[in-house]
Amino acid sequence: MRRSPRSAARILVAAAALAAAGAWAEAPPPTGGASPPRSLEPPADVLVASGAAPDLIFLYTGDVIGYLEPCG
Amino acid sequence: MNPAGGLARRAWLKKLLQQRFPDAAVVLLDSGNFSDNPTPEGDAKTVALLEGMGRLGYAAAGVAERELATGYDDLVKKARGVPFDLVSTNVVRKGTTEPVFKPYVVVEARRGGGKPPVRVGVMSVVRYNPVFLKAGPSGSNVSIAQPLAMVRRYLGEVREKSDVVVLLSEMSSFNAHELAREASGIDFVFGAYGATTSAQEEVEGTTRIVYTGNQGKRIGETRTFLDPKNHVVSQESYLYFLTARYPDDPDTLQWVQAAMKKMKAAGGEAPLSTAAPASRGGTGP
Repeated sequence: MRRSPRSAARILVAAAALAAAGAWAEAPPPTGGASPPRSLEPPADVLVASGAAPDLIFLYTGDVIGYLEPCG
Repeated sequence: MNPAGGLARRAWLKKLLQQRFPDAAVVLLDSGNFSDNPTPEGDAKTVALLEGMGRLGYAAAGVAERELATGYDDLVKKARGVPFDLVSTNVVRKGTTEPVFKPYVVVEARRGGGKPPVRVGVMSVVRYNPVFLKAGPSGSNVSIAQPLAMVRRYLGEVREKSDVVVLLSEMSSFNAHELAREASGIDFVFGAYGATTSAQEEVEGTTRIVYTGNQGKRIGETRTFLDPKNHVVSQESYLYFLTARYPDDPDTLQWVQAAMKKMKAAGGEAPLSTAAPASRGGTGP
């Protein structure tokens, strides 16, 4: 079965939109103070958030009060 | 019951991020109040925790009230040989504004991919407590100065020497916002104040603020994107609740288990004397 030129164009547009969405997902987040606050929760289905490679990663704790092992 | 936290899960997270982002610099920080109770068992845990944090590669830790429960000399003994800096911008000799610990450090964070290192300036404040008084170095006493005044005193210097400026906070989130509003030029505030945790990225001017809660159950992660001059362009933060669904790093787990076993065998005896006076009378610096 042959696709009509209009169907082919729709497929191309959809493919371009998907590619753009993929690129957005890997791009650094928007600049500085202008971006709205976002949740600190990582996505529910992963342990650690994915994303674009950062230049610098901070890992930080506080009020650990002697716990070497899990607490609770 | 789902116990959360622990050094071994933190180590797993750090290694995962290093594998995933091999060219990124990773900087570990602790805002303070890492000390257990000032008992023989508690002191032994504090010493072991400091050693474990050193193994994980912590770059700096703040000094807060719990660290000074048995005075300055005792803390210095506990931290002897620890390969990271203890920092406090506002713990001072009583009657002065002279910090007792390093008021800030500049951490040179190395990156891969031939990129230059990032200079991270780290300051640390504890909540203002006008009745705090503990034994200090050389027969002095230590007290706590106003956080804002002390941050203002050093911020320009730190900013000049650093690409990114971090303030470790052991005061309320409200006070942290107030300080960031009054002292512009801080990129990040990473804090803890009891069980307070940030639900979302908190913003004060150009400062991002994250509170991580207590007992090491959670760990904050902030990914920072820099321009060619190492200025912060953007960032994204996460707060991981380290429940059992997070794996342990096997090497660190083994080390923690050995440390706990050794402590139990010693009956929780601290390897250090805790006989130092809690304060030295309260007269003069």
